Amino acid sequence: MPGKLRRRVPLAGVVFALVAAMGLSACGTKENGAKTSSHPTITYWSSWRVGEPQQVIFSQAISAYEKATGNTVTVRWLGRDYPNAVKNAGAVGKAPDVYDDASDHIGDFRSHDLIADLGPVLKLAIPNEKDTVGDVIPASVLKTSSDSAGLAMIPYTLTSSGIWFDAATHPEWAASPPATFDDLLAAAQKIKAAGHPPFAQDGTVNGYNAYWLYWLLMRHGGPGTLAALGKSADGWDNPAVLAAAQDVERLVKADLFEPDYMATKYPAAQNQWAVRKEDMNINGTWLNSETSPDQVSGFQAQMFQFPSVPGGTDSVEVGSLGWSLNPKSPNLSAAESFLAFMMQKPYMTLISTQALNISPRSDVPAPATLLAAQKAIINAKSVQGTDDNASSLYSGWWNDVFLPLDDQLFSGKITAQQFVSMGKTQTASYH
Amino acid sequence: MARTLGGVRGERDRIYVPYLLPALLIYSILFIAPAAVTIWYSFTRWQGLGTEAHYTGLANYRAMLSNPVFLTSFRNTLILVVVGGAFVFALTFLTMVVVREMRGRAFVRSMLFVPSILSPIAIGTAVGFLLNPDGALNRLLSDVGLHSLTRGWLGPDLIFKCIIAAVVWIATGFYVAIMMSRVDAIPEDLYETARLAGANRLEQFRYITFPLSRDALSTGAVLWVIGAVKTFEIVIAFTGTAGTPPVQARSAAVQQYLAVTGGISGTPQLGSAAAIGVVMFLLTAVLVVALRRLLRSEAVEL
Repeated sequence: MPGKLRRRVPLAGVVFALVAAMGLSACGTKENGAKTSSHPTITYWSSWRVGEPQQVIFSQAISAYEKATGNTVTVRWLGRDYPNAVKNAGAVGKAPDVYDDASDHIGDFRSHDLIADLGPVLKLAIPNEKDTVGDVIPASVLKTSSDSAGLAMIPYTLTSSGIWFDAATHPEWAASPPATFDDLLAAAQKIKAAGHPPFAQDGTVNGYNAYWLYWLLMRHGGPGTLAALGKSADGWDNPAVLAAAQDVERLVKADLFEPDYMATKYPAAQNQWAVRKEDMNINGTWLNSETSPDQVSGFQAQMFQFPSVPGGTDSVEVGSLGWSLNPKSPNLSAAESFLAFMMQKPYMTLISTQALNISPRSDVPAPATLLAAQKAIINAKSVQGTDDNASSLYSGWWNDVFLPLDDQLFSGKITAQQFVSMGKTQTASYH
Repeated sequence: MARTLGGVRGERDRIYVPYLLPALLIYSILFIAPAAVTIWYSFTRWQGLGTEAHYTGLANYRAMLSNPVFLTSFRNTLILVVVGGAFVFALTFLTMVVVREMRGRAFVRSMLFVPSILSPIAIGTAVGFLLNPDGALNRLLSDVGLHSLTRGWLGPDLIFKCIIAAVVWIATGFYVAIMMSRVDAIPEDLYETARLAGANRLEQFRYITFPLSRDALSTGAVLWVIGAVKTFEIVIAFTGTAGTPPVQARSAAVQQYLAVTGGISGTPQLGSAAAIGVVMFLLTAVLVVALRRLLRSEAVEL
């Protein structure tokens, strides 16, 4: 990447920069050593690896940005271990100007003082368009890209979760999915009666098992109900918790999963769903791209929202992947304009058409398989983060109390009543 | 005169100090200092570089000892060390009895060693293929009429037993290699004499092989304890990385890993992780000292 900089700057400029740097070292060098010329060099550390669709899209956008502004962007394609790289660099004052973030990592980066307030970016005009960044991103998405201190990242991809099915086998669900949890159980019972296990479940992934209880908690108690369980033992007194656990108990007792579902190692169950051995799989918006190589001919993966419960809340899950800025960056305003540049419609369209993900822009249609999820997100009246943010806010409790207890409930080892009383006791002793 | 002699001896005794200093310095920097820092962090609440560590006294240790999940992981580690170790060394002894006089024993030893060099990623892939509910093992059992023996091998009830079996399968070849290298050094005429005296294979093992390889057993047992207390990657190979391992399958090292990473999307709890590390170190130290005492013997001159 320094090579790129050398090619772009004439020799005289280099000499001038050197002299200037030597003479004005106190104000010429900032935290990460970037120069403070009118064409700064922005550093960007990415969670994508070379060759992945997002890397290809972003590389294209970065080239266009460099051409349009004269600024330079040095990128490191780090892959999924990027949080440690960013945090370690931040500890020694060498964090990048821009880095990839995810809604469930905001708390971690915030605790390392690595998140700048991105409110000002919303007011920036998107180049070649008449809208500002804030105009094209729905409020529900901005909410789940923020924490109590403000907007933490500008999203470039949205995630959600729900119940996946094959629209070729079940066209009736594409038009009208099961409206209530009782309807879902009734539909599943019908499939079971016909000799087919209705639900595929990779039961060795405790986080996937927890989808059921998480969604039922959201439906019975609304957003915040699950996070409250991790916050203190009092959260367990909410009647919605017992009601949700009782629904999980009903689901388990109805025996609607593939045989030995708790012993099924990922990704066996989701791949079985892709070959129509089971009809439904509760999972994230990424399921179609994960299973597409295994899907049988004619398979039409689609997802519907988790059904309602009587008198409950119909919230929508919104998770996001996006860009955060280092608050100590010497190039903060250039980095802000870089994010506005990246939000241009052509690049966000590629997120949908090439990366097959939901773009955060409401004017860019999601891939066909995710259109229903995008519509739900745009129209959402109430939203929650992934796992109601409980897995990131109270990670120790999540791993040591909630997931183990949920696995016991989900495998039929304990009743809903036992789940609630054990959860309350264990949460009290955990804190 | 005596004072002069003493002075010379004192100087001579001290002459090793500058020679020892570089090694001592390197050892201090690489081992003693990090260990001291780890112990210090075990008394703090700390989320990693770039954040402030808050002194919390014994809070991490108290939380650990009142956390049923940590206690389960600690118990699992002890079971792995003791039960796994019993199987590993029983199989090693059995192999020593059978393989010592076998033709092609070098080949057999090599074959037994192969699992030790397999990548955990390969083992993880094989586990899914073999042990899933519709995997090769259950299919084989069904095909030979033993359908009643099919199980959900990777479910919470059985997964830890499967992990112990896998650890034994992986480790045995390594300990066979260590022990057999000692057995190879035992003079053949001892066995010939024993045979002439009418000793069968078991008696030859009891009176010749075992006593003369006891020092190798002592080394092997210590290596086993150190390795087994750190059992980690095989658990991940069995449970995958899409979620966090079920409590029934967690070892202390896995619990430490979850504290270091915060799980799938959490915040690291490095103070707790350091406390778990200290406890694992103490466990290893106690077990190693106990083993050394238990297996202490006079070296046998051949």
